[in-house]
Amino acid sequence: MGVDPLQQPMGMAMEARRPKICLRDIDVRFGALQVLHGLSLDVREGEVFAIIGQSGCGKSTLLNVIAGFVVPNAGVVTVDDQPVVGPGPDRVMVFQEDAVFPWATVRRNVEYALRLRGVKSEIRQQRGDSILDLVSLTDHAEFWPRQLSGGMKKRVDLARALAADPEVVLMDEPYAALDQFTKERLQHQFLQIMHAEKISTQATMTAVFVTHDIEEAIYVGDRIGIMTNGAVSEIVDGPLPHPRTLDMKLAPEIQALRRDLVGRLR
Amino acid sequence: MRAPSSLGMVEPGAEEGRARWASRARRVATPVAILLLYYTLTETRTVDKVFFPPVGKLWDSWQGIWPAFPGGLASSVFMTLTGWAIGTVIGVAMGLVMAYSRVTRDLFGGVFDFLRPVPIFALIPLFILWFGLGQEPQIALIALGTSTILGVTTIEAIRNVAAVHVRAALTLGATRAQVYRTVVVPSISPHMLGAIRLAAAASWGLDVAAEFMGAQSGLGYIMINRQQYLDIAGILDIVIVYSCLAVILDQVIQRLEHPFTKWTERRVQRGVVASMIGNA
Repeated sequence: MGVDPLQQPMGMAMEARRPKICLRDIDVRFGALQVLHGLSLDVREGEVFAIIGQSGCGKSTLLNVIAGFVVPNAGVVTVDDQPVVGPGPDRVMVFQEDAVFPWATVRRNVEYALRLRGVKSEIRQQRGDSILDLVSLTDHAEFWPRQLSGGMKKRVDLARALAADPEVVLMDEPYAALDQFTKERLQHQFLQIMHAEKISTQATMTAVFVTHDIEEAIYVGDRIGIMTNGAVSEIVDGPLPHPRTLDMKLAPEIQALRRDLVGRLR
Repeated sequence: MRAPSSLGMVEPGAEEGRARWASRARRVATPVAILLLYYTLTETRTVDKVFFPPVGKLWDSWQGIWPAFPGGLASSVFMTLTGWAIGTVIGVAMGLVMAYSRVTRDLFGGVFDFLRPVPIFALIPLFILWFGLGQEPQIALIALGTSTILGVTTIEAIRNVAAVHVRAALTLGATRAQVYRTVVVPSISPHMLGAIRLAAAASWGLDVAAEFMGAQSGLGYIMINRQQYLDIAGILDIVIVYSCLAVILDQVIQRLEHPFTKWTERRVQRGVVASMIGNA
């Protein structure tokens, strides 16, 4: 089921649209360590592209290249054909560690990007309200981060990213530190958010979702990229239809795929 | 929903109230005990009454000091607060500049590290020669002493700003200036307020030292004056005044700092370990 990253899968009616994110021959070295090696990848607009790979394979570095935090030693990375020159709210990243600002309430965290842009307070409040509603944190709007659980803080993190009205959402193993139950709830909520029309003024959002949890990748991803040796070696189409429910993870075909992918990672 | 003040599972209620009163009682008990001890020891002549004047003598000396007091108080308070304010601003600014980039750190850091350990008090005669007698050298001294404390703390505090917070701000669209304003400043506030209180306490001491070396007015000047008459009671009176001033300024700072630090974990209210056990 492996697909060359740059080819259109046959038999599917794909519009001839340029890819949203385009990476070509990316090399990244940290000192003597070569982390990314000739990596090329197209991410299509509107899809959730999951990336799996062993620890240390460079998944987070890849995300950081797209986000603009890491400048590649060679190669080109573009979003909508524009080269990436640094971090920006069009490609918001949700980090693995807790990045919620502890000195601000939930609401002020969520409205952060809007405040930066000087959005008028009425509009800012409205958007804040609707996004808080989307992540089910309306009742906790005035709480301080120190009063929240890990899962709630992750929801704040995602809400804050969405409020910036991004075209691309970059998820860096965001649920790695959470328990299985919370993790699955948030995976499901993430899918709901990606398909909700109202939260973004963008027509569709694109997401790149890095994870070491293969089931998570299968659940959230429209396509799953496998990273080995510093490059995307294979891409697998996500088998699940939309809308998805968590119990679909238990289906035998899905479990078989999971075992298959685990094998390919070795 | 309004945020609860603590995330406890058990209703704090009466327990919390009792604990607070107990805390207050303890805080008052120690100074009162010390005062009682002093009073007892001096009245019963257990200690030499020349070196430890009884309370009555303290009052008598106070009467003698009183005419010069308002002027001296105004002078010392003015110099200390001015020096402390100037020093705080300069210190924080220096810290921010030096932490801004490698270039600035290299340019200014060396000089800063060299000047910092110079004992402030050794500069007093120099300052008097530069600025003349009067309030300027004293204010300059207090400002210098304050600024080194604040400068060092600012640099350390900025070093401890979490990288993930800075990256989060950048990915959300913040410019460099916005990162400073919205991430760095709130991040360092708790550290800075500790340093500001420390510097405030130190500035009273700097004021006394400065006044010893050529003041024409001020509380320290009164102290020198009393020393020349061997009036220990008078000296103690001024010491008590300085202590009260330091406490008042400290309390004011603590009250004013609350809106800037109420988001932090309230570890210090009960003690570092104790606050980890039991409900918030």
